[in-house]
Amino acid sequence: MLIAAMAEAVADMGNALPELCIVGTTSGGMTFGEKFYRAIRDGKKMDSPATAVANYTPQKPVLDALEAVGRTMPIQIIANACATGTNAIGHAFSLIKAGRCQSILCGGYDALSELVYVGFDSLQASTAEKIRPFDAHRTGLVLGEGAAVLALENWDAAERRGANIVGEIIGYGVSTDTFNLTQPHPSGIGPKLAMQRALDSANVTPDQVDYINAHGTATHFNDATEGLAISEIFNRVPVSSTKSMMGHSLGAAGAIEAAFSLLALEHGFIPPNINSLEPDPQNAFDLVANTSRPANLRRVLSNSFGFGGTNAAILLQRN
Amino acid sequence: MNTVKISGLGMVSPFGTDVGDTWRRISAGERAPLSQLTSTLSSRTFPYLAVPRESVREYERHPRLRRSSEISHYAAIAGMKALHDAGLDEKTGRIGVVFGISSGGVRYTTRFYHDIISTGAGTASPLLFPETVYNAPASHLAALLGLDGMSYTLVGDSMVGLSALSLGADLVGTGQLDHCVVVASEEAEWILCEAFRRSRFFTNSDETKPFGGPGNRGTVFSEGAAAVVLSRSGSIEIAGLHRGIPYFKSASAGVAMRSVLSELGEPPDVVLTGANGTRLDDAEAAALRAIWPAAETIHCKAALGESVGAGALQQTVLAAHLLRENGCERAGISAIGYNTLAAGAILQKRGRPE
Repeated sequence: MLIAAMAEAVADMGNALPELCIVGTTSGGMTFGEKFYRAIRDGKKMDSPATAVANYTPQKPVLDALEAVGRTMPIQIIANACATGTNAIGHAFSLIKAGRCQSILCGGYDALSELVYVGFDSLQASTAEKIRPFDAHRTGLVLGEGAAVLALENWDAAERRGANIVGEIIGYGVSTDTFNLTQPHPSGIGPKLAMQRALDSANVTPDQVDYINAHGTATHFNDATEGLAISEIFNRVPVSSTKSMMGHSLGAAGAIEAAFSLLALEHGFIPPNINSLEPDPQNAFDLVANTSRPANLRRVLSNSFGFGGTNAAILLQRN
Repeated sequence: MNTVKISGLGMVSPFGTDVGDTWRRISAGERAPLSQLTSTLSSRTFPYLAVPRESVREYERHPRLRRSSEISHYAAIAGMKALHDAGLDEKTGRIGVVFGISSGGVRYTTRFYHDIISTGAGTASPLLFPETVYNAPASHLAALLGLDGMSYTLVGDSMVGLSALSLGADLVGTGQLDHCVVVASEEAEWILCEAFRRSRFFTNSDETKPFGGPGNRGTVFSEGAAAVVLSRSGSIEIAGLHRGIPYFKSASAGVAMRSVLSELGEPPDVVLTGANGTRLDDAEAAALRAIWPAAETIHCKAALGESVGAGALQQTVLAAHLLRENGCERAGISAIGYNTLAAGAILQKRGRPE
């Protein structure tokens, strides 16, 4: 998945030479670790145990992807739980904004594993039903998997070489909520700080945001606190969670949702929050329920929040 | 551009939690005593270098840490020691955390997965799973520090401490933070030793022989943590820091290491190497001979073992300590991760004339 996403981004990038690759993941090659453990437990001989060990490490898929696309550059693997894809993009944005890099490949990936699947089930965070973000009848998340890679470049450099500029990242905000490893503070202070900091970093006011691609996992705690935070900062802003269609791809989610946000800006529509039965009445925002909506979007905020209280938001703008 | 400074140091190792004492014992040629890890799936045992339990009890009963495993305890001790060494406390504003980690909370991860396949998914503990997430130790440390801002966890191999140092230096250097606690931590578990053994990185011998040449037999696994506080003022400057160069085949590791050292500029007086007795030592030794031939080499892993996730930042702490103690003017750090990048850094005393 990561090789496919990386190849597409590098092809799109043309002749730009990225100086750094920042990728987020939550569990890396966990399935290889599981196979390794089972082989030891069952006394089975593995064909290549060294390969299984190497593939377990979260950095290996990134190295494989770079090798596949014929690029060599330093890599940083951020593992900030489910916020990590947005952290990777946001940190890349900060480095370019500060002039420390001209061009960075950034994104996230994750593949389903038994351990992670059971882990979310043990927390009673997942559901066997449909995923219904921000719904009064939500019952939990559905895991997904995937990868997305964005090619970020200094604006002037991209213009000079005639790059096809899809959109612009103009703000990034992070916060840490240390209330609990897996549950956000009920006040929504974590998401609120991350969103407010993203707006502040771009000198943008809440009413200048046209759509929020929410973290929206459909878990009780996330949607309650994220919904509260959005309702407090924004005034009837359109909101949807594309996880309703894609599931929660953990380390890939932030990057995938950044890509969706850019497509929404480029093509003038708001993706829907499907499976919606009855919007949670606590939320004072405009839930884009069940069907997409044409919209002349100028700015989109994309949220990602994770275990450990990591919260990240990026603000994207149409070219 | 203002250079980023190191203003505080902290460390947890098989020699305890005192950086000065650890350095003295390394300099005296001491080796930490061996302990044994036993596989829960077979009778195989693995020698390793354990952190003395009595030295890390400080945070065990802290409400936030009482359910966490050693990797978080080591990180908490190293991080808080570094913070206090920098003259800062939990009330200091605009502090962030950057955490370097390799296999994370592997004890709980192994236990959680074992429970799944032994007794069924329905019995999996919701208390264990959150501690298996890579950023759990960083979250615990952020809670101890009372942070509401930046916290990043970077994952990698034995050079990840330098990746974390690089990210932390970017956050302080670009003004996003006033201070950054960069921490790296590792806990030992038999499954890691088994993985190293099957990858031919592990030795059942009782010692690590860095730069041992063709007889390189592997490394002894160890555990511990290291922490530095990065600030815009402090007694030690980060004079050079390379984000690293990846190598895709083992044979290319030396080329990557040479490039890193070349790009770091003026050679240091002393290098704290990452040499650990494995086959990668040959690449590091050749690169150091070629690029920094006059630099004295110090192999701290001969005494401390290979603490993987914590390793490169332990080298960094010891290099900074050496500068503080006037052991040299300019100290280098070199590290080749076992499957990622070659990386390096140079520290020097603040105000050293160029």
